[in-house]
Amino acid sequence: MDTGLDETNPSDILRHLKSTVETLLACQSTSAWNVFGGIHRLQVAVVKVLKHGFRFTKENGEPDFWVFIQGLSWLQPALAASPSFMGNPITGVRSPSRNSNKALTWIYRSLETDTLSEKLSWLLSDQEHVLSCYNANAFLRQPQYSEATLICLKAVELKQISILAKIDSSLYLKQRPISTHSHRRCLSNPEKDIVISSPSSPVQQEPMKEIILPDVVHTKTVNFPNKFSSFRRDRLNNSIVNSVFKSSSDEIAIKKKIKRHQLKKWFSCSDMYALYQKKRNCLAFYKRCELSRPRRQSLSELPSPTLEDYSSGENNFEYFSEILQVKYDKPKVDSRSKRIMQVANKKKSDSLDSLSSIGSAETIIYRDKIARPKRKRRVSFLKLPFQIWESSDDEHSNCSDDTKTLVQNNAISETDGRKKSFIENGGNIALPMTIGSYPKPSPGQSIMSFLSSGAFTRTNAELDRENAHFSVAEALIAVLEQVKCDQQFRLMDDIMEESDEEINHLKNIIRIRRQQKQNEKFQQLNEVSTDTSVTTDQSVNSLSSSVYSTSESMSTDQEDEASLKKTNHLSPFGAALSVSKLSLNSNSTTDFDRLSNSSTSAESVAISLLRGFNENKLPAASEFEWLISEGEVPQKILPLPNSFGVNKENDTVSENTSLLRGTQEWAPPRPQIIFTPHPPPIRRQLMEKQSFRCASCGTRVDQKYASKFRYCEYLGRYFCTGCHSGQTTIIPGRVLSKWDFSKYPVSNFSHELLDQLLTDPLFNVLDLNSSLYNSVRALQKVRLLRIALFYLKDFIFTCKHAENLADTIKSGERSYIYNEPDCYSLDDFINVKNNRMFKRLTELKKLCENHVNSCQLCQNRGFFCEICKKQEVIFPWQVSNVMRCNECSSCYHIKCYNRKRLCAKCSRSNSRNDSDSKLGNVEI
Amino acid sequence: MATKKKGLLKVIILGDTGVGKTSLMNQFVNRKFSGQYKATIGADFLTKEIMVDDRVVTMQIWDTAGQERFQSLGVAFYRGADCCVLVFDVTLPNTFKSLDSWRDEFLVQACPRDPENFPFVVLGNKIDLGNAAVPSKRAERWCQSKNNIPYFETSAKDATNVEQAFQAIAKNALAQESEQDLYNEFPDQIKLTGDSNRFNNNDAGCSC
Repeated sequence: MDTGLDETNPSDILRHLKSTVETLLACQSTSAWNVFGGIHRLQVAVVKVLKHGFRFTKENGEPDFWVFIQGLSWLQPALAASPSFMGNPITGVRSPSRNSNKALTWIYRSLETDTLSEKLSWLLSDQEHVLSCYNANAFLRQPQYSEATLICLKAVELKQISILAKIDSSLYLKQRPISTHSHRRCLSNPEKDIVISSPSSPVQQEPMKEIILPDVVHTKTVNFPNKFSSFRRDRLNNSIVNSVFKSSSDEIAIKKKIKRHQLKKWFSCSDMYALYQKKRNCLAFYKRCELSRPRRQSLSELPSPTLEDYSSGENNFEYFSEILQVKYDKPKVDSRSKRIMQVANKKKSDSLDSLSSIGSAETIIYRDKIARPKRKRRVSFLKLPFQIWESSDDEHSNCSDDTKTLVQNNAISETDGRKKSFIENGGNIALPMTIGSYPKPSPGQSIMSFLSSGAFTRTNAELDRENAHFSVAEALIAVLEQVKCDQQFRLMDDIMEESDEEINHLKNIIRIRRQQKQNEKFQQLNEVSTDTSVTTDQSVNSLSSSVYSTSESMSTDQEDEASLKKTNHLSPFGAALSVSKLSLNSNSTTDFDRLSNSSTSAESVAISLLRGFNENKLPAASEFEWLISEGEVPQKILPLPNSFGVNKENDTVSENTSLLRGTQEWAPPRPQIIFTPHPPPIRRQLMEKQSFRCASCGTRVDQKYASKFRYCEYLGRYFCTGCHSGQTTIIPGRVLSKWDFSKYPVSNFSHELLDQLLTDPLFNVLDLNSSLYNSVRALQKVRLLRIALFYLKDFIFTCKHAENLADTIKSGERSYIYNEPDCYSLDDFINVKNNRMFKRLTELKKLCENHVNSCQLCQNRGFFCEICKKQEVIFPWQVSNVMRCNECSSCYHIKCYNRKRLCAKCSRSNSRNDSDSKLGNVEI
Repeated sequence: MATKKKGLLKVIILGDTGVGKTSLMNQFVNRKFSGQYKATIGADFLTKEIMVDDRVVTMQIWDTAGQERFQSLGVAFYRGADCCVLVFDVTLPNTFKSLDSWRDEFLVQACPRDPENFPFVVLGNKIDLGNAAVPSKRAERWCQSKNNIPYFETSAKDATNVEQAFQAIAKNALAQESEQDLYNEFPDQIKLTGDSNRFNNNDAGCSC
């Protein structure tokens, strides 16, 4: 026990205490006291705490904190009694030996019986006692520190290292900023994380860190049953061990081993990510060792792990798990995702810029079209906890879906620069889900050309995104398995041939340098953040997995080299980054350039992964064995409804492909036009009806997560978050029934569909809900105008003096406006509501009437009222006082007609027909 | 009054679709015939100046659409007509049968002051085809029953009887116009007789 403890900074004392606690707990033994000297080390730390700033000293000048401890006898006599104050010195290895050892013995015994924290808290609870014993600047006089001490002791007693995370990490800093928060509140204080993750923080210079994952995280995540995960982990561990030996630090080596031991139990995604981070840092460390020429880099140059690092990381994990919990508890996500979207939008411009700089000219022109799927994508990244329960495939399917809409948009814009409407497409809209094909390689085709073949990419791109993904993933897995197998064979040969250590070592260096280069490239591109090598392991680990998608680590993983690329591609910065990365990496083969537009698709990811290999080593696409061949599981084609027009040309695309239209449990949504609103959904019933499958992609969800599915107001079904990104739109059924123009959340499919049929006149108000005319004045007004135009157009279009006017009408209005006065498109409804249509048609009607009034021919084509026989010419569009017989289309004054209630012309022709038949009989 | 006599004669051609109304008019006005059928949309008119009894009159000939589907346009032009030409296809009896309804409809819509004596002319067209299904006698019998309507068998293709028919139409129209004058100025006795004389003359001239 050194003197001059008063000068010691409280933060140092706390750090000492905490590191001691951690060392003890890291061993994972049943009792902390099984560790050799463990109890003594902790005793020393506690003594430091108690001695700091103590008022009373003994004769030899040493602080006599026994006075403080004695307070327990009157504060809580029951506790004071338990380990006797005057107990005999323990026959421990290092029992306190001095005469001042009363206090030390007490501490020792209290620690041994796991009661110290309780006792200390009693002692500290009495302010007066503390004041009387300690100076103003004493450790225990500062509530944050005293509480931190209690936490440390509690952690030891409960053997839960995660409790340490509750300590405000700022307490460890020497020049601690005056904090206004109590440390408990700091738990969920986001500022904390920002401070920790910012590269400028001195805490984060440490490349080698332990990864401590609290239980919360890995219980929430999905196990990752991929053989590659273990494959990769082994490699990682190897590299960890390598680097550990290079650094020749026994302490670190022990810690690493400990951590490795811990991690081995976990296969969760966060762990995978953590491992990945760890590996990266190990590599960085390894490289440093390699580059500094006297390879025996002194350990002193490598900052050793300190208390701060642990705590900061744990803080973040705490934070992370809090996010998780909050999100799971929340039943509805719309508002949240909107908020996230807003945040994402702020960043959108950055990524868009980089995207457009790389993409083709079209990409730039149709920027906004691309922006939409991109934004969707961002959201899906940001709300990661929802993706955890979806299968790990989901990320891929998201990617491919986005790409597909992107590709689709591109394809359309290429053809005519305008999106085709639903009707123009003949009702066969090319939505990604409608028709899928299952490409098969032709004999002798290389895997690269297969993946980048047209079957997978755009033009005939109505790929079912799921199936495309499965197909690609299978191809990838099969290839990697084969490559792995080949390598192992080769490795065996290599071992026989090259046992030379030096050569192997050089090979390693080359490999690592290459990786390092790639890392640097990646970092340069990555302007926004994730500078993983600068930030500390733990903070990045937790922070990035909380903000970014866990799917990075969930996705299939394999080779070192490939995995580096992979994480880049799936990085949250979306397509922009991956495009730039891809284009930088690519040696610009034609196939690949073509793909670069859709770089987030499953195919391109697969290709980029396989790029890590020499193509010669890859088997041909037709050679490798599919895990599940088409022959084993033939896909049944469900019969199409009769009303669905089938294009024969589409059906005979290729003999190599078979079309997928779902299974017996699930079929992809078809473009339906739904005129009526759905009754309010009962989630449980509907989900059961859907067999707990997403109505769009068929992904099955566990019953307990059914609440995460989102309702599509248009189709009246539930969709997974991948197929329903919370877009909102006007629902035709609601407009027709209630003139309700509010936007409701719909699935991506419905959104696309409704977007396409926005301008199609599909809704005949008279047939669907004629009462709407009575209840909506604006609609009634427009209706009268349209009826007038319906009659006027007969005159205008057949008048040789009105050709110009006829052209004006034909070019200005779509034909259904004047041919079918009761037909409306969604867009028309909107224009009726905002009165634009009324203004437009009033104008047009005025023009037409002006012509008719001044045209001799048109005047002669008018009508006379047969009933009143007045000389006045009447026209059918004078709807206020003229009516027209629907049978013979003769016109009458409404007043005249109401008197007779009979169309004179019709009755004449009827009687004529009767007499004709009689006459005919006579004549015969 | 003099100006009115010299003025416009409004003639309406009616009949079922495809009987040759437009062809007859074109033959008479432009002396042209086209074998191609093109349905007339709505109603339209052509004008031609002709000499009737040493007088120049402008005939305004209204060609109408025979098809029902063009009924969305009105027939306001019936009003003020001076003569109505009913056309049927001699090879198609049904087109002859429907003359009745055409006549009735016309009288209703045109609202002439004296429907009984309103001048009609009936033309049995397409006589060039040679397979007449409506014999002249039957047509003439019908014409007689309707207050002695003049009847001509014509061919717009060969221009057979076209000129003569339109001459008769013009004369009848003029007669009608005179009769209207008679009604208009009923108290003027002298004019009444003069008009009736002319009507008789026309009738005589037509029978040649």
